[in-house]
Amino acid sequence: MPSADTSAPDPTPDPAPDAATGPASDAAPIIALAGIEKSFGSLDVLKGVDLEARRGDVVAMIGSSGSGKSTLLRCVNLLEVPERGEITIAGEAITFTNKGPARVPSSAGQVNRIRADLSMVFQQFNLWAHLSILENVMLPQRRVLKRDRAQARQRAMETLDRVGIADKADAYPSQLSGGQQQRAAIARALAMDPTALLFDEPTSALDPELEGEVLRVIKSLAEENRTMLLVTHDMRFARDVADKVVFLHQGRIEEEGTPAEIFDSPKSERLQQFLSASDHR
Amino acid sequence: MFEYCPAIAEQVKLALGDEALSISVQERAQWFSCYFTTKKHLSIFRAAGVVLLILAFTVPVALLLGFLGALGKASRWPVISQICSLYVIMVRGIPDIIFFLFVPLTIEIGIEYVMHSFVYCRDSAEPFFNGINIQPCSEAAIIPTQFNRIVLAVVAYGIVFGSFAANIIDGALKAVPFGQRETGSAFGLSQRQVFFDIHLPQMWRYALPGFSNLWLILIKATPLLFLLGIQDIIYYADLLGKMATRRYSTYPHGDWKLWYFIALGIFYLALTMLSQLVFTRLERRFNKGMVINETTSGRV
Repeated sequence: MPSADTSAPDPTPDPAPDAATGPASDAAPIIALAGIEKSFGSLDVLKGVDLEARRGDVVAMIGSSGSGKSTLLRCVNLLEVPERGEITIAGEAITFTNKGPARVPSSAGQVNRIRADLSMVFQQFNLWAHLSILENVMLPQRRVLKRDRAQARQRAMETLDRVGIADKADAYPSQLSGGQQQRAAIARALAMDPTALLFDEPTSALDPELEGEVLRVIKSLAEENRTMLLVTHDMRFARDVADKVVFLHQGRIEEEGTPAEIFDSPKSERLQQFLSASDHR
Repeated sequence: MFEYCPAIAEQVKLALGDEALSISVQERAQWFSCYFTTKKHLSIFRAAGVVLLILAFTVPVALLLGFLGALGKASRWPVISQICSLYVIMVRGIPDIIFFLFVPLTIEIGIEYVMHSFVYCRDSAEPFFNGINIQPCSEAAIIPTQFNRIVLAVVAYGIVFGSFAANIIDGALKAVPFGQRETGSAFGLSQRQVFFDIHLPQMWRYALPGFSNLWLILIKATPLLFLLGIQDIIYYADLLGKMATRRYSTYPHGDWKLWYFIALGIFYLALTMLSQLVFTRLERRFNKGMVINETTSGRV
């Protein structure tokens, strides 16, 4: 992995190994994190994490609260800037300036381009309260992808239909149930036609009876061979949808593997403890 | 204005002198129509118009200064943020009346100084500051026309109310849940797009109650216009309400100050009530979809 800590910001991405075959090559990871370290003040949240997701991978991140799984996900689209480590999205390495806590991405343009390619679904839905559901799904398409009104509207209606709430297009977020709001948020993410989807505990804010409708939608997306990074508390769901499960503990990856490896034959003691504790949920 | 005026005025003038002679309701109405349209009396209506005009122009100036102050306070550069903080603290902390005397005067002197020193009288031997006197040369002196005074009034009100607006806007911008903005960034919207598409539209809902109060206070501060030498409605109400004797006036009447001041009260009350109506509508519009005590606030 070439160092991204070069002093001069380089507008052209490092020539990735897949440069010859193009970014669509199955060999190149869509998301590659290497040596990610992040701390908030004196609290070290991530202590050197490597993570890869190839095209079509569904990677589930599990771990107890405070294990750093959400922070790791937020590092992928630079909502948190790691103090150390490299982030490469579809072969394009993100360039940074400064070191340590002052480290920032060199180019806001690059960050925005990458974020547009990695749509995020939040735990609290975060639909824009002053816009209708349709306008919520249209806004980032219009502003970031520069689609015209008609195009954005058509794509919005397609994705809203996909998640089953096309009839709520003109409602405001506050008029919808939590499950419907989260499905709208998923539609908003899908409408960006992203290379990968990031889910940050998408069902944690939902009542148990509303979880199902959201999980079904996410599962159907996973079955479409989309690249997805997923932080979740729901072990059954992680097992159900993921190709790869990553167990984080105290800012490090304690164990990773296929769902069968992780859930049926956990090797580390920590993971065994964690799984037996979460079985009671 | 009306052809019958001289005749009716004469008739009523005579009648006032002789209590026995009664005049009909119609004649009374005609007399009032003439009385209200004398050149002297029309000036109070014009003064009311000036008040509304100053109010209308103050709003954009105050909003502009409010936004500059609020955004400046949050600026990355300490110089700008300190200047803006100082602006808000100083103007809010000094009594309005002192400011209304101070701001127009300084602006006037400032303009005169620039004109005197750099435009008109560069060759003049007369210094601008002559001891403790201020002496602009005749070309540079600002003639206190009604127009100049109104401009100064708008600027003075704009500066004072801009500082209050800055505080309201500052609070409202901070009240928008962080998650709403962060989500915009997460989708690749630029800082500017996040501000104009998400932050600003959501801010109004939090700012509106404060603006509603501020607007009413601004309306009620317009009587201070006399400090700027503007002959406002209160000046004219006082003047027109005075007893008018038969000897000096075509339209003599007793001491009508009470009625004039009641009319002023009604004018202000109507203005504030109309404003409340507009604000209620605005609130309904900006409340659309917004929920108070929203639980989806995310991080603050």
